[in-house]
Amino acid sequence: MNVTKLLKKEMKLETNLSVYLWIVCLIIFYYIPSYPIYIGCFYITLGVMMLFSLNQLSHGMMYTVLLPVRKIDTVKARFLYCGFLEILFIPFAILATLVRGKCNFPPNQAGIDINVAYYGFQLILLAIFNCVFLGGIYKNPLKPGWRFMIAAVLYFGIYALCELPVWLYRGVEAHGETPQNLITRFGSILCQNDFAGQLKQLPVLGIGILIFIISWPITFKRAAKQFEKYDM
Amino acid sequence: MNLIEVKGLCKKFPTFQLQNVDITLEEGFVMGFIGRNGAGKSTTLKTMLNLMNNDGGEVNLCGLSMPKDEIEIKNQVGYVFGGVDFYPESKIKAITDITKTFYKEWDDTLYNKLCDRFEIDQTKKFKQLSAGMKVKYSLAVAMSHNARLLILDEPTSGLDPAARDDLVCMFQEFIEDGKRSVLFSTHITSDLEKCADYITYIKEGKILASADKESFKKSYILVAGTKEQITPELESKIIGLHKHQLGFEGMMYSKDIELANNAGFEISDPLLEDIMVHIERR
Repeated sequence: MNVTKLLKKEMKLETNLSVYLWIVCLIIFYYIPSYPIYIGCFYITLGVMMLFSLNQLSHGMMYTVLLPVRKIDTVKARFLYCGFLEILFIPFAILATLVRGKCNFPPNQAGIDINVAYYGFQLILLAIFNCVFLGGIYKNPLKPGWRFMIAAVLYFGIYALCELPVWLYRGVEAHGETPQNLITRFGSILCQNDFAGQLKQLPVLGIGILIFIISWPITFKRAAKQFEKYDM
Repeated sequence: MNLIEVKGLCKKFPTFQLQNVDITLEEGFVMGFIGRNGAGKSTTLKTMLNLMNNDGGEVNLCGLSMPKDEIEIKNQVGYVFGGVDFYPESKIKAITDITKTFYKEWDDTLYNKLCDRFEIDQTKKFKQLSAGMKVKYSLAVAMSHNARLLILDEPTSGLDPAARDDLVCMFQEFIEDGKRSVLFSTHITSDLEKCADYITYIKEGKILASADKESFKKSYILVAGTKEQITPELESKIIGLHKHQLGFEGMMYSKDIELANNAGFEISDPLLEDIMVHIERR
């Protein structure tokens, strides 16, 4: 019951205009032709960071724990809200796929297209971001800067790893060669946007969903423990 | 019934520690919690409210045990943190609409009445309220959820004398029915002269004294005289001795009044401020 109220509080009092701005960025980046598709979601992680950053100004965390609620519930509500912000990418990406298809967007030259594998990789990226950022932020929730920097570097590092097979395959393809090794062959699968090709990408999506789902309780447990120990 | 019962509260930091803090406050009274900046007032209040984890001791508020009954306690306790702007960019109405949903005994009619009385414009943003208004708003919230105990951390700091006087009157009004109490920390001792029934004095994390205000004041006397009147034995009895060109001034325990009389010191009754100044003088 308290978590529902706290969630409402997150939306009404904790959400600053900049959080909406990052959501708009997420939407817009899906419509830029030949743009790294994972960047849009990075803006959502900025929104997540801003939720903590703004606490320094609003003293929201202090206000919340003074209410008749348990500390663990405040963490739960914040996690639910962050999770909600993060999975916003799914409907917007689906919408963008439809629009891009209708408008005959050219294939994405900067990396993967919005296909089944993309959703899987994006969920993995978000899970890793959450483990590093949300999983450690409650050690000192009023100082999100450094933790975000680490999480952001990791996000881009993993992003590069996710894109590597695609880039390598594109290189091979540009030279008119056929993919020889495991990575380039995997890259060729990731670049297939037709129905049959995307069926082959389902394991990536499955793994992504699994990692994303598993990461939440693990991260939450860590964060809740840290916040219980934290002195306001 | 005791609305506050704190026994042996400890909190350790690398450079500071609260040591066995004991505070007791019955219903129907105002207690002033004084000490210089950094003495441990805020740490004590935050530890009492479970905002900080304690390293020992017991806290009972409104007859309930912290942290076991934390939610019920928070329903019965109101807090004001002076100088802290909560959600400065949000409108008062928006903050209240969310806040009230958390309290079991929220009284909307009373809240609106208090807002009218305190002249709080609910359409304003929190940051647009004056310092005094911010405290009044926090008071209105605390009173509207039928808090039995108000815990205030430096609520009057930064306020002009008129606004401070206004608030002090409200504290007295709050406890009028004899069932509610106020504990407030401050280093503005003149506010306590007006409204406090009890004084708890904290220095370097230790409680020096906790007594009713008059007994507390009567336990000290101010002394003054010429340098020639001070003997080494008397000097050791004087708290916060200050020697100057014309002589000296300081404070002694009332139990030593005979010594002071025999030495021919000028004796007067101290105000809380005098006591604080002399205790803290290095």
